[in-house]
Amino acid sequence: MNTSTMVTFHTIGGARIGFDFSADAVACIVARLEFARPLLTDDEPTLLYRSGRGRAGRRVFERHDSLRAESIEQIGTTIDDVVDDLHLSIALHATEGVFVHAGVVAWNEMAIILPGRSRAGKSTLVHELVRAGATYLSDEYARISSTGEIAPYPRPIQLRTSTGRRLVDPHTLGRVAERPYPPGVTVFTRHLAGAAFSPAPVPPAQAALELFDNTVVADVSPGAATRAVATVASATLAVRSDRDEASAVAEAILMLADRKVSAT
Amino acid sequence: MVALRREGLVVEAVHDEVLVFNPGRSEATALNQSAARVFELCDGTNSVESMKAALEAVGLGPSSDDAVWLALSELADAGLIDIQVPRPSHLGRRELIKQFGVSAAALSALPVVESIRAPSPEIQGSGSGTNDDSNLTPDEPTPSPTAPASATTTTSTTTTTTEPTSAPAVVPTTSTTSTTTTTTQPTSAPGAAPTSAPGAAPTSAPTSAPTSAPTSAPTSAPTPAPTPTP
Repeated sequence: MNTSTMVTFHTIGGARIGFDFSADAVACIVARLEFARPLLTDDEPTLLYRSGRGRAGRRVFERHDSLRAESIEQIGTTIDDVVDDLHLSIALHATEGVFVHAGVVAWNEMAIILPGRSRAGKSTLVHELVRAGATYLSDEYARISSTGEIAPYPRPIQLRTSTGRRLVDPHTLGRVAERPYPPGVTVFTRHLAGAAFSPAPVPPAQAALELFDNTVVADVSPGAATRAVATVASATLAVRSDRDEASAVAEAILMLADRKVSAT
Repeated sequence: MVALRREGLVVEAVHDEVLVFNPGRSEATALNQSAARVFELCDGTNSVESMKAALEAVGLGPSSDDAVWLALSELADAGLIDIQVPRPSHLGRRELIKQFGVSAAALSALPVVESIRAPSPEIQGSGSGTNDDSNLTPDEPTPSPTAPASATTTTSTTTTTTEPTSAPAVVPTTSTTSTTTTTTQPTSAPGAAPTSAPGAAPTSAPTSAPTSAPTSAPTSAPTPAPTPTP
């Protein structure tokens, strides 16, 4: 018998997420959220996932979230749909730190930030950087702490294949961060077949503006977002370049961090 | 007395430049050093003449009334200041470049004001799954995008753009086929950092919780089930 049970978890970043599902469904979701360090709490959730009915009477998962334009939204029919949706919810409801869409690795004791939204190639580039010796922080979010450091969001690296998605355990590639790193280099880059990697400096306010454009809470908590990205932009060397294959530019990006260290 | 900064702006210095959030428009605006200096001087007491002198005093010259008015116009268009005197006709950016030349120093002296609307979470997309990370594996290159994400998903509401220059590469190129084009402006010349922060009050996120309250929570995280149902 599958009795619906309401439970709330604290996750990484301090989000409080409620699930009103069967115990089995909750168990499956929690098992998939190891990276988010879910901990049971008696606190009120700030958003809620529960089961509902679709148009054809089919059972679906719903998200109840007052921070979204659609406060109640059907997000799918599978556990995978819920887990996928949870990433943005965790970032949106975080109380500790500001989440920016970016891949992040550490090198020479500083964070290399690769801002970008969907289809920007963050995961592929992060994958190559970790293979080249960098320490993994995230393929999705730079978590800017209140002190301006970049904290890990160490989910499995998600690589798209011709048949779907491939999850890569970053531990199989190299080191995985367990602490924040100070921001060092921000690289605005996109894949462009045949492009040379020729990074040019980005003015600091422009870098801050583009980080803001990738900040999850830019719309709902703009003051915090503005302060966080300004802090990071003040501390990093920001550059921009198109790039060819990720494997061809990973070393060059690590060289940027080396030069930042030399310069300081 | 020419112009006055609006109240309620979130102003953050970024080196010698400034990032401003305007809650009234839900827009973020980047100001280069020249624009930031003019913005700082918009306290209701400075004249165009004194602003011009202030720019030149921190190495942002040669300046002119036209350059100051260009900054004031763009700051006003971005909703950051109110101009309190009639705007005279003044040279535009292109004419100013002709007047001052195209050297990096001259270009960096021109004010640059660029705004974007704060993106909503929905615009930014999901953090994973079908909406995100559509990266191919390393042996399967991603089709070339036509523009950076920031350029395709945001609304630029201010007319100013960055100046095309041949900014120097930071590290050696990794290929001989250089197809990269950059649109960044030259880095700012040294000078006084803007320090203005007029009564900014950040907008806080709503925190209302769903109606359902947690009930009995399990004492430990359960193990995965093979075929869970909602």
